[in-house]
Amino acid sequence: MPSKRICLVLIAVGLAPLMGCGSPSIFSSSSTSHTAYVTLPNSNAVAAFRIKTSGSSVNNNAEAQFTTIVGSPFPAGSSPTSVLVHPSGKYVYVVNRNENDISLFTISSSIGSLQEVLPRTTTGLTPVSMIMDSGGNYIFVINELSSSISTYSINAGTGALSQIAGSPFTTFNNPFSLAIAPSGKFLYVVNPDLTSVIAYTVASGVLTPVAGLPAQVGNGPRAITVDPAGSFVYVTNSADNTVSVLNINPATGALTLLGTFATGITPTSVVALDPYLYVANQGSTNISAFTVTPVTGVLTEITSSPFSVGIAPLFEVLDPDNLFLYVGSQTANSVTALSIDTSTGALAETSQSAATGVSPSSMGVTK
Amino acid sequence: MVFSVVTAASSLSAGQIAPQWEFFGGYSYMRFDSPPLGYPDWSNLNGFNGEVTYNITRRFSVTADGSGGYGSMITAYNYMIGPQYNLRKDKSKYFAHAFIGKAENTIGIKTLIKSGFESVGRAYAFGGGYDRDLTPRFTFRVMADYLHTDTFGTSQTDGRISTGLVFHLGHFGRRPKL
Repeated sequence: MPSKRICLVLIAVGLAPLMGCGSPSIFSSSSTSHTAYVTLPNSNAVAAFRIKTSGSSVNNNAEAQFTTIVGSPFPAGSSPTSVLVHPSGKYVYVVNRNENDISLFTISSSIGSLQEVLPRTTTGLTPVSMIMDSGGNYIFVINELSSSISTYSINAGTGALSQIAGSPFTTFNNPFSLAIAPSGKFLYVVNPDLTSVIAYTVASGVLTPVAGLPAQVGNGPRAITVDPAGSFVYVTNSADNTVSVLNINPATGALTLLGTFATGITPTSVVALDPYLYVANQGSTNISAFTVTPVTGVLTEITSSPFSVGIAPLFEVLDPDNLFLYVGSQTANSVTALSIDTSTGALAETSQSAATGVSPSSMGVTK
Repeated sequence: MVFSVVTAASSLSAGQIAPQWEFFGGYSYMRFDSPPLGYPDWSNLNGFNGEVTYNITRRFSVTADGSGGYGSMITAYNYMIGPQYNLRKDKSKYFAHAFIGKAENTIGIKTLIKSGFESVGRAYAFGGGYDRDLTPRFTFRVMADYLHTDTFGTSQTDGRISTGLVFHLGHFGRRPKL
């Protein structure tokens, strides 16, 4: 009977979503999911996004879908400027520049939302940047105005921070940014006033200056990173429009300048994805991409570099699966995904981005 | 939409029984479309479903539907009303309906300044089911619905299965012996 068939069809329609029909996410292959946290200093908050990535640029089907997590942005302290995600994926740390402290958030395992755990942890004056060792055991914070580095141990069970004995450690005036070797043994601090990088050894969180003079780099040194192999330190020189490559002495951590290479205008950020190096140029709104020669550290710009991003990039973050380079822009109030061709190092613009509403300053992504 | 494609052909005999009122209550499972809210995957919600149906004729009725589903930090309530078409034969009834109404979805996220994020929006559903008489007053029901809601600035496409008992009150026509 036709009417009975109609009823059965409608029952099937009702069952269809239960079977996953019309939901590409259920049947999509090789997709991964991460959560990303972006500091919004002007909103005193942290934005949270879910990023689902799939495909690859080699096959010309790379996708990075951003979804705002309900409740975002989550309130933080005054002017949150830097964010770190603990390797466990359980905690997020945000340094609040204008109130000299660090906020600890727990990450909901269900949805990825943030819940702050009080009280906040006091830092030195004007904390501007922080880094965590790869094991998630320590956090190091640059205190720009008090010219010091605060070191905290992390409680693995609660995420709580405890300042270690001897911290904060005095450094040269107006430190700006820092990086840590993958081994966790050496810490490097950029000092724009001295146009140099100061090296420290790290032992149980205690910092000891490496013997010798700070390593000289270019003018306006700003961003710093260490390559995943722990062989080189890269520093962008925003006033010279160059990037410096320094060799790490594996025994002492001392740095030796290997070379300086031209970038675009006002390089503000640098990330290393062996054997490639990506430098974001805020002034020329593009990204310079290089291959790195082992041992010598010579940078060779890859074909088609620099890659246009269409926005003035401020920071870069690598996707945990190395499929994408996420680029944040304060002028566009957004984070944009560029797909990475891991066979050539080439970048490609995608249409995928997340609007932050206000200027973002940093970003962290869960594994 | 349902009623525009239904034909008048029927093999049912005249005078078949039909209750005046039907009161349904039972268990409901919802496959909730939570990725648009930031979840990594769909969510399974367990809860309840209740309906009140007034049979205008043996074939056409009006149904008010209310359901609640509970899952991983998610609470979803839906309140809808709409027409229903019924096809009755002996102890069985097949039915199809279309509803429209309201959805209230809450995500149990806690921040320093707020506990729980709620959004109210439009809901509509299409579906149908099957009733089987157990006694003159009680019927076993199973039904499935496609449910669409608009909350938190996005859309959710859900599936819902419900089962339970229906209580009859009043009747049309003459009931065959069970």
